[in-house]
Amino acid sequence: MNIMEEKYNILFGEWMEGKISDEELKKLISKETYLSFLKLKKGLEVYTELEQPLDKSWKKLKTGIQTNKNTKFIKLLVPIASIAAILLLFVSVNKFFSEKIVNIQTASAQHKTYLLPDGSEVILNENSSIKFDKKQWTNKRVVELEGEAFFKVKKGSDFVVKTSNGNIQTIGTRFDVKSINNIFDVLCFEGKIKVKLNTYKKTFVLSSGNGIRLNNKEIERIKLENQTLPDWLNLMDTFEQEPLSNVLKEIEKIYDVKFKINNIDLNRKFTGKIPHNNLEKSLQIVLKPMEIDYQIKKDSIIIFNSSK
Amino acid sequence: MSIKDICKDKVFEKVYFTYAKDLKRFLFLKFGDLESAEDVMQETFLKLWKNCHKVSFEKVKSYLFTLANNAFLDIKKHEKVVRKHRENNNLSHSTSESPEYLMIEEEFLEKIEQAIAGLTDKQREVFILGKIEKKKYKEIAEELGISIKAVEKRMINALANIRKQIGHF
Repeated sequence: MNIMEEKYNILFGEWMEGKISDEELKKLISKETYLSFLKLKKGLEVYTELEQPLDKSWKKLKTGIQTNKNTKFIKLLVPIASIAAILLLFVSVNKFFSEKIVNIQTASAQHKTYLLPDGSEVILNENSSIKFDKKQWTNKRVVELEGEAFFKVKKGSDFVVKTSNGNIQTIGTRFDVKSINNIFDVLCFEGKIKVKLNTYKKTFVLSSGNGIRLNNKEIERIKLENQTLPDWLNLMDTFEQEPLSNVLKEIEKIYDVKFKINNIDLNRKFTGKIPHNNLEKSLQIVLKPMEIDYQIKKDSIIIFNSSK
Repeated sequence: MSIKDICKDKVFEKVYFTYAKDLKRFLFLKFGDLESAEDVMQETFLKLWKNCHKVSFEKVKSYLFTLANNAFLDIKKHEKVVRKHRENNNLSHSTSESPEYLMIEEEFLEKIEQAIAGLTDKQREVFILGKIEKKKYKEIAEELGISIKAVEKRMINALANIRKQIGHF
């Protein structure tokens, strides 16, 4: 075995035990090797998790079974006339005391989409985690967040995101929250959200297209330019010598728009990348170099040759 | 009533300790994530308990795995429905599943298992206490009668050794 590999093996051990940070590690090894480190780390995490002693999970199961036994027991005791009353009492007491905490986490370079019990969606960025009580969800929509996540909240009761830097409250909307150490960024993409900072006694109301950034003690207002998703969720389509007709069809699909084409050569080739979160930008990237102008109307986009 | 009655607490506990690990691994390889595997594993045993009268001790293993597999198929079916709904409503964006290189296959887990078995006794000891029994360095040091620094050194060597044995993957 060559010296490099031996070095890498030790490096792997040191990195796993936190003696080297991700940043420092990336400087020392190739991207390929780094990915292999990530995979082995994940493999070990999965393996050790699967090999965990069963005592804890057995206790959890026993609790679940006991709750089940209690339900059976109470039902047996009750005379038919009062069944409704007692069951109602049991359910409310059970709901009050019981909880089911769900914990979702992501590792480095990992995204995860999670569907909450009411249909709201959370998309987690890397190295992030959310925690919520599944049992209490119908009454209280509260999510604890560490890291970064994009939320698509279904209209309903108050939805609260708690972080160490502050809380966000809404009733139905799309927004992105980033809470990492002293950095706190909140961007509203649709609807309205209320942001309450922990360090200041101030509450900010953000409507779509607006954001707020807290960096240590400074507060900065952010204006979003025609964005529908945060940058980290910004997907791109790459084209190479693609006929314009196909590119336009793709844009229609991504943004759910319809083009009205006036005298344009649809065979012209386009090479480049278009984002999924900014319609204006996409149109400019594709059409401007071809000297094509556009007009965004209520139910269509008209494109025509620029008059010179 | 047979001697091995699953409805009896002691018997049920034995069944759990016998099959829970294998069932969880089976589910992990299907779902690809630990949380779903744990959830469905627990639900499967709960179902077994509720139906304990109907299952004989001899048939319990196949009952558990059949139940688990059905639960997996059910969930996947539901996921398809959700995805259909997304497409219809133009809520499209790529599914954010784990990147390819982070998919953990059965073969990889077996390699890891062999690598751990191939550690030196001292390395394996520290690895199991630290990574499987989740004990802190301090606890391990006390238990083994060595310094905390020594625990750290052995752990790093154990991990290096695991990587060495697994080689290219």
